[in-house]
Amino acid sequence: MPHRLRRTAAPYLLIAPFFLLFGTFWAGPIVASFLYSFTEWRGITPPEPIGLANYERLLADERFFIALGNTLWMAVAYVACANLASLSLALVLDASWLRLRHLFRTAFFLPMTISMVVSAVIFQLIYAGDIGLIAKLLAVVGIEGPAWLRDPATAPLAIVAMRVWRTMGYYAIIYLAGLQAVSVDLKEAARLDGASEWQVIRHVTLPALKPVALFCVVLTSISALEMFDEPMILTQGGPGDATLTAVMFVYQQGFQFLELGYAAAASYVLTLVIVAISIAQKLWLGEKER
Amino acid sequence: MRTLRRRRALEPSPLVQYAVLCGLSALLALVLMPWAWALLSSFKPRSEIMSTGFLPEVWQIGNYVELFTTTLYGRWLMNSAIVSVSAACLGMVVCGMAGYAFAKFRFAGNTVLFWIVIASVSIPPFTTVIPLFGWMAKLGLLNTYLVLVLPFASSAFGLFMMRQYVSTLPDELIEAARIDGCGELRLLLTIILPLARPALGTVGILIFISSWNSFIWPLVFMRTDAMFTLPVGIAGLNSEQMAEYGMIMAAAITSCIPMLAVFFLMQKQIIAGLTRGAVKA
Amino acid sequence: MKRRTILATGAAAFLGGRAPAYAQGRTTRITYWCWSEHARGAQAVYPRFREQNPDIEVEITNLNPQEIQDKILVAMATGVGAPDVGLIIESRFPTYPPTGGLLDVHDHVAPREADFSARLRTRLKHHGRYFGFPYIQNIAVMFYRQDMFEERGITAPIETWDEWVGAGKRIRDRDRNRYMHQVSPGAVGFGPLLGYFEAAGVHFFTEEGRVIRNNRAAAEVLKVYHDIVRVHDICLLVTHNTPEHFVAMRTGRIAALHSGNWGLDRLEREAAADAGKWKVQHFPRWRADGPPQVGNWGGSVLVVPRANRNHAAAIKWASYLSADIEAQIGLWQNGYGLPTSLAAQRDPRMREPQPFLGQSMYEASVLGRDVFYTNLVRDWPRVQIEMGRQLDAMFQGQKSPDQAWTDFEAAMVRQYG
Repeated sequence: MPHRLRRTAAPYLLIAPFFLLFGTFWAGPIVASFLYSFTEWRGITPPEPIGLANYERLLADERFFIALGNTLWMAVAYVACANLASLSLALVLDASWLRLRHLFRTAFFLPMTISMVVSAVIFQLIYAGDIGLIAKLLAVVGIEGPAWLRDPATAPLAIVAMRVWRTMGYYAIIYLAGLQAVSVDLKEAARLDGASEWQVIRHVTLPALKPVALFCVVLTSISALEMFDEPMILTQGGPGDATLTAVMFVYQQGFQFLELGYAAAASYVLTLVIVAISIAQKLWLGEKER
Repeated sequence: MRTLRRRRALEPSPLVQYAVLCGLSALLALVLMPWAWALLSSFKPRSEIMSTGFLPEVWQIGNYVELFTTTLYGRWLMNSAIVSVSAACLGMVVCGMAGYAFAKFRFAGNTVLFWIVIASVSIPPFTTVIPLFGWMAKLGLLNTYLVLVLPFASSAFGLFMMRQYVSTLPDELIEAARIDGCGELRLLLTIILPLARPALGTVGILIFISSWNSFIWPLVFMRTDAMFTLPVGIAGLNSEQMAEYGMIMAAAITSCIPMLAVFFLMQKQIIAGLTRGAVKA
Repeated sequence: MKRRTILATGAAAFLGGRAPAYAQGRTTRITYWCWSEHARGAQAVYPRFREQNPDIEVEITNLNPQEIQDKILVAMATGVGAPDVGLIIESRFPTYPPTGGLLDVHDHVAPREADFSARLRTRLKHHGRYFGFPYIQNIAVMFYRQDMFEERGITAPIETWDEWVGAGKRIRDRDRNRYMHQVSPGAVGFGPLLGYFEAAGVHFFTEEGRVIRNNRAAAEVLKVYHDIVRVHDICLLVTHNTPEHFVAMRTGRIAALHSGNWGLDRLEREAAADAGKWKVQHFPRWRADGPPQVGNWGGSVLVVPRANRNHAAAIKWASYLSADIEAQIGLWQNGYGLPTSLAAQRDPRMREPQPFLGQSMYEASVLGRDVFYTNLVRDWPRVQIEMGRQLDAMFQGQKSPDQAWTDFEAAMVRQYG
């Protein structure tokens, strides 16, 4: 008797610590944040319910849309570059004739071990005008490069490039694992049928990679849509709000202007956008099974 | 035999192979260049960084000395270590137990609760931070280690990974132990956890890395510079009016070392864990 | 309440980081947050304070000024993480007293009211009570390279703005790689820009905090700011405090540096090799027939957040920095902050030359000018950020200065009415 009781109680006891923490630090705040988004809360005074006023204000807030727009297009640029770069790298690394595969794989992964803050700080001295590495290299050849971080056209690209640098090796490893799981027999069969190497890749390997690709695309999207560290450190959202991301906007409203209710509302709109995009990606990349 | 000959015939010519190897090496050099530049700059005094030239004229360690004597870098390092190790240990326990429950038990709310956890991954930062900030302030937990350790321990990825791994453990083993009269607690401690060690290790490392590199949480919850973790401390050094670039590079380089060490020691495990999770997803 | 405090400090003693600052034995430790040259100034005048107050230890922390403002604001909201004494940028001060998080220091400041200017007497008060200690102020000045001026036959000091622009053209004609002085876009460019508005005697807000509509005078100043970069082409567009900005200082890319008095500290550190070549002069008069008026580049105010317990010690430190003549002069000599104490300003030591310049900065750039202070409003960062956006759009060529001003005004009306 006691055994069976203990057995039915067991799962609940096992999950209790996790959900106690999860409830306090994730689920609870997510719900509370939703409620706070309907209040005006300046931190010093208790929150005052104001209905939909925050959302109305968001819809009229030019900077919020600029932030959303920047976030979306930087995300597109990053997801495309990161996935293409890492997939290509993985394809090369997967080649059976390649030597030193493990060395390359490890070496390319290294940038992932450093935090986004440290990578941003390091890249400051790469992108800086006059004294940055790029500027100095160009000076040797006699060209004056653009002020990467001070020009609204190049600043977002510079940040995306920095991120691709950091995460390329990580996603390459994931794609590599996916590639190595593609059935060798299928590839052999295609080759026997006379397919060229490129056709094998296109018609056998890539389709088989769809689940892995979906995983990588979803991960890269979420991390891009939540970009904060790099613009915060390198450009503070400038120049001219060109690198203002949605999360930066939330941080500014919440912790610099101390408008916590408004910030909560903004973060919820961002959540909706992220969820919508994730669902769209699943539908697009997910269901086309062989 | 025929397949082998065919495979060799399919290999590109040695020239192409060599070219690809060169290209890959060039790409690698490009990827490692920012580090090399940061390393070089960390040995230069400010006047050299602000002028032309690539290599330091005189290699001096002044920046490193200044880093440890005039800033709270040592303290930040300690804070990061305490938070990350505690979060990793607590996380292994908590995620391990919960992962086992989700994998091997059928109970009410099994699916719903699990999907709630997975869904939480797509919630952007600051959504949770905003209310937490107010609550932690009221509870007096702002600026403490606890406020960073606890959220990182309840990691959604950790739960996902543990459930994944434990579900591959044979049910027969568990049933056999139960029939033998093994109590639930003993089952967990003596059979499940030892078998799940690889996944536990990976979860611990992942939580360690993500809490070590986290910026947003300590930025908001740590309010005095003695309690900063490394990323927040370095960002603070960087935002000074006349930033000491050389010292900042020294800080950047030294802060890479612990992570690199962890990575090299646990390489196989990290990569195995990451790929296992991805391919099964 | 008491039990919760014990629990919080006891249980979290290890996890909770450091123990609260209570008097250990007979020494009280207090924390003071300030930045760059103010930290250096404080270090320089600290020994004398220690002699006078052996039972008080001050921990001087150097943080980014914008961060200090944000952190103190949040600290007052949460009661956690406030320093014992903090340095607040004067333009951001109005936001703090209404929060209720600052200590009322009226009884410590009012008795010496006569020692500082009328403007401070109004600005530091909230509902008739003082909430901050006057500390230092910064006048907008122009540092210049005397050798470069002489090369081009320019005699300094240059009296009016038109003459300055003319001189700038001579600098540019001689060498296309050199500029007269620097102009910064972005939100960080707002500080320097204010100096221009104030030299022209312009307000954006009324004293009650409402926006002045159809502010033609202001629009004109913005146009001048735009034209010196894009039309007259005498200024280098470089963002303030970036590596490029410092490189321009040290390589002589700019013949003059528009800065506050604290700019001398930057020059000393960045352009040490050029000691003796740099001099300083007044910010040029906006109109030849106008008043001898210049702008300021911020002042700072010492505040004591209420959250901490070491009020007595904090007040002693703040009073020392604010009122002690030796301290005020020491701050000028070591950090180049202009004393708010009128008695200190009259002290002959103020006129001593600065070694780097070989002249007295006080006589050359401060004396003989009235300082104009524009009206402030609450939540000053909003004004900064909005103007920063307009500046960026304007310098990118996306809108005319007139349009930029109109948009700025409209945004301010939406925020402040």
